[in-house]
Parts: sequence; C-alpha cells; structure tokens
Amino acid sequence: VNLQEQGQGQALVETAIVVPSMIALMLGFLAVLVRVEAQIELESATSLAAAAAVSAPAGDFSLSSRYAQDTWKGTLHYYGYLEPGTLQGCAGYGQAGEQVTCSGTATLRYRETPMGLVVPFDLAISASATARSSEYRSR
Amino acid sequence: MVIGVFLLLLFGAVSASLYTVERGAAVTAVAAGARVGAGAAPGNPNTPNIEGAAAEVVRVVRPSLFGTRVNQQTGACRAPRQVPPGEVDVCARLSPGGMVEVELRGRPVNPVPAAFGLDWVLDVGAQIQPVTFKP
Repeated sequence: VNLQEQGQGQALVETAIVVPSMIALMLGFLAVLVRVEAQIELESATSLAAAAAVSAPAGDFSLSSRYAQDTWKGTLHYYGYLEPGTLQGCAGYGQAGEQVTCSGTATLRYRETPMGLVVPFDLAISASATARSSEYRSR
Repeated sequence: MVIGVFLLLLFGAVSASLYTVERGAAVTAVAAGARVGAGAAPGNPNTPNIEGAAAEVVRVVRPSLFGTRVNQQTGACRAPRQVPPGEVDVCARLSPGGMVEVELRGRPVNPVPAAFGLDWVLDVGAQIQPVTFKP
C-alpha cells in the first residue's frame, strides 16, 4: 500500500465518521427547536382557553368549560409532529373575581419525523395558565 | 463531499432557526390578535373587535418576519401555497359559531434558496370566544 492509497483510505474513514455525526447533530438541533416551538404553541392555546373560560357568566360551569374547550381545539391543531392532548381544569368559576386555571398537554411525535433517529421516543409536554374573572364581563 | 454536506447542514440549520423564530412570533401574534378581537369594538362593547384583531397581529408579527410583506386581509385568508413567496396574509373574522378566528398564512422570506427544499410555509391560527358585558 503506497502513501496515496493510505491517504484516501484515511479520508474515507474520516468521512464515514464525520458525516453521520454532523447529520445527527443537525437533527438534534432541529429537535430542540421543535420542542421550544411546540411549547410556545401549547402555552398560547392554554392561555387563550383560560381567557375564554372566564368570559362565561359566573356560575355557568358547563358554558365556561365549553368556551375553553372550543378555544383550545380551535387554536392547537394536529400537524406532523405535534399531537394535542387534553385540556383540564377549565371548569368555570362561582363568583366574579375568582380565578380559573387550565392545564393543557400535547405529545411531540419525534418518531414520525427524521428527528426520530436521534430522539427515538415521544415527548409529552404540558402548560398551564390562569385567568381571573371580572364582574364587568359576561352577561 | 464533507464540505458540501457541512454547508448543506449549515444552511438548513440557519433556515430552520429563522423559521422557528418566525413561527413563534406568528403564534404569539395570532394569540394577541385573538385577545384583542375577543374584546369590545369601539363604541359597541358587545361586538367583537375584528378589525383591531388583524391590526394587532400585524403590529406584533411584522418586526419578526425579516423583510416579509404582511398583508392585512379583509375576508378569508388564501391557502398558504397561493400566497406569493415573501408574503403572508393576516385575517380575522367571526366564525358561524360566533367565535373570533384569527389566522396568519403565507410564505415568509427565506435566505436559503427554495432549491434546497426548504420552502417554509406559515399556517397558524387562533380562535376564542368573544367577551360580553353585563347590560
């Protein structure tokens, strides 16, 4: 084996190590971006749901819950890797001035994307939001 | 070859980072717009502020869309792929069910050529029940 062949072999081995590493690094980077972005979407939807819950009249628990659920489902949609979970706790309020706290969940389906090569599991995320009712709101 | 792969991944990472910032801003903006829309219109406390909602989305999202033209639509938004590259539509309306719907759709400016297969599309929306007030 002469020096030129030895050099080519070394370059091939280096490429075989470096390229997969760079791809894995890139996919890991994307996975972090997706995680952050999904959290923003979940926080926004949960926050809006809490705001909707306190726009129902005091004491009308079913209407408050429906407002929150409608807002949640209309804001957080399934797409590619993000699957909305459940919204809990938005059960209304008894008197004006009380708070409503909502908790929302979602699942990041990394395995359904190329990111599954570096994150081979689903990731559950959650968010909570609180809104205070006003005596001037809601007929 | 390694240099080519490196550059491809670098472009991809830059583009994906930019898109994440833009999408995050869009989600925040439509949520802010929905809150404004759910509030009272000027002079009529029990009417949703639809015009104010779209204007709020534009105000919040414009600084984060880096050269993208933001169109404030009066009716329904176009499908994302029908919006020309470098533009996004913002629209707000009252749904048949009485909810305020705010949407942002389009194709923001992307520094990476579409030939790389990274023609990102923004399609985010929010819905909320309008607030009403005691008589």
